[in-house]
Amino acid sequence: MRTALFTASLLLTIVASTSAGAATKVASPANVLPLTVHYDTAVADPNIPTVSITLCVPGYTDTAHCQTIPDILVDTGASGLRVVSSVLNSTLQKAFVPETYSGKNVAECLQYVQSAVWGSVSQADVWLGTDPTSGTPPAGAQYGKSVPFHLIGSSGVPTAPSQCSSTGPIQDTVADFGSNGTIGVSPAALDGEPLYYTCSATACTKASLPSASQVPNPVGRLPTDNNGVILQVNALSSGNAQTSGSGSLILGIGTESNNKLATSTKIDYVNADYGMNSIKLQVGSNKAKSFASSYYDAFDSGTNFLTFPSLTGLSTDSSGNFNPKSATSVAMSVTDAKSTTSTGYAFTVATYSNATVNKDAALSQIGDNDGGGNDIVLIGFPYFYGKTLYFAMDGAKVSSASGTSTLTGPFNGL
Amino acid sequence: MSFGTFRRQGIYLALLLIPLPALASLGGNAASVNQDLTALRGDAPTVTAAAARTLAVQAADVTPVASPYQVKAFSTSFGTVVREYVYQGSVFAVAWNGPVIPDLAQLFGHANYAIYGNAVSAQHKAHSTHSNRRALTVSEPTLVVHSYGRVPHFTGSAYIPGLIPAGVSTTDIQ
Repeated sequence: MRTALFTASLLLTIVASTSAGAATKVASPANVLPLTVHYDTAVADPNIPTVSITLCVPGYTDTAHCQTIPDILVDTGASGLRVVSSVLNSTLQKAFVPETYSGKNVAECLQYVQSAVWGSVSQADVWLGTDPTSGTPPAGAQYGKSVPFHLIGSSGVPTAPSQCSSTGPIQDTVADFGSNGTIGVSPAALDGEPLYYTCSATACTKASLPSASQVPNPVGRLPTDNNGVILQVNALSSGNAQTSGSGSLILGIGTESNNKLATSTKIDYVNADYGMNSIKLQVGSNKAKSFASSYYDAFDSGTNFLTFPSLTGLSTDSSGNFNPKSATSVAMSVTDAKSTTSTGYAFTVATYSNATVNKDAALSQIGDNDGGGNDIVLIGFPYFYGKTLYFAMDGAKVSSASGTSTLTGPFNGL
Repeated sequence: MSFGTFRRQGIYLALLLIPLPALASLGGNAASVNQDLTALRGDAPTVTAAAARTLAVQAADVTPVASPYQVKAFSTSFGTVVREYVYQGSVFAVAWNGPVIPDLAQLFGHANYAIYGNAVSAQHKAHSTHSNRRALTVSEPTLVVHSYGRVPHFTGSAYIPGLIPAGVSTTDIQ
């Protein structure tokens, strides 16, 4: 594997140098997906980082069997690929039949706190960073074979059982879901879902599935760059609001020349909930507060605000959004799963007008106190602008920045 | 009309046709706690009707020492622990934690669940606010809901402000 990789990168180097003179187009490395934050027909909320992916019927690479889907939310706070079925062309809607377990079709209910999504679990060849329909894939192209994914709102399974719809509305359209789908790239290998079902033609019953049938973080199913991801997001060029934002989702950590840990990166190990043991926040010289939710204190690209309980020195409006009179810096330290505390982090919170939020999709200083009642801290996507953050999967082996040791996931590189 | 829209209407229609179990609890009387227990245990796929009758049909009393109110607790068929807070015969709050968010229509009762549903829809439509999938606050005059977490670890609580006993802090409800 290592030799093949080395040969591949050597080949790439030769191709790059021989074509440099005449080249008008330099392909990005095969393990990089351009990342965009914008408003469009699929995305209506700010700070939704999106990529394009290509799904193919297993074994095929042609346009009749593959479709590239833009506006897929990159979520470091969950695992698993989910696609709203209405964005697929009619051929693929039919082709992505439910996978089966014990001869029955498999379906999944995924709960969010304000809603739920329901649909079949189907399988696709999932291409990340390469569209196989546009020519021979480059050496090092990354795709997972027959990867189980959640097809939201698919017609292949009956309607949702009442347990799925009783917590909030079922979100099976792009408008409801807020994007064409999501790629969950948290350190967990599987989505951890307790609500899998097997279905007859008319009804579904709860089932325990073997792990091979459950929806995985698709990065873990890639051939080489499969031990985690890097989110490298450009800083806003000026101010704290911009029409759009950009960056890269890079596959693998320390597996290629372009995805090594940086020497300045601090390693913070995540706990069984894939979060930190506690996060401490402080405004100026006010008393610092430490938040230790037993559930979730995390760096979460799938949360579009900086979300944390009220702090002395930071005011909120009636709907819970922070609204300081002037932009306010919040100092942060993080205690990880090994009880090691890293200090020196900070972010800024500012007040935004509705006009700005309606116009600008990239907002680097927006926050709210929705975690208030339970000490939850979600360091959401605003924090990611101008940073390179690493999310190493459970069991990942990653060479340290100095190259002198091997780190074992799951961890965040912050 | 999109395919998805068509299907949503189908779901709502189907819900109307299903006979509804007794709903009560939040704002209801103390006996409604055991109605919740029966309803939420009832969909345990591995528990037969006969076995269910022999299981505990009373919620456990987990009232803290020297508390002015009672706390009753039970587990749902999905392993989520539900606690109900009772004062002078009325359920003034409910709370939960576990792998699956419990059936909130059952726990809240129809009227409160409608208030909750409308508030969540309004938040979803307002694009100038956030769309947080992992932290939700509903704060209406007659109902407050906090709901947090993600698969497979959820926690949340709901209470009726007008029923909170004097001197009791809402931060004790969790």
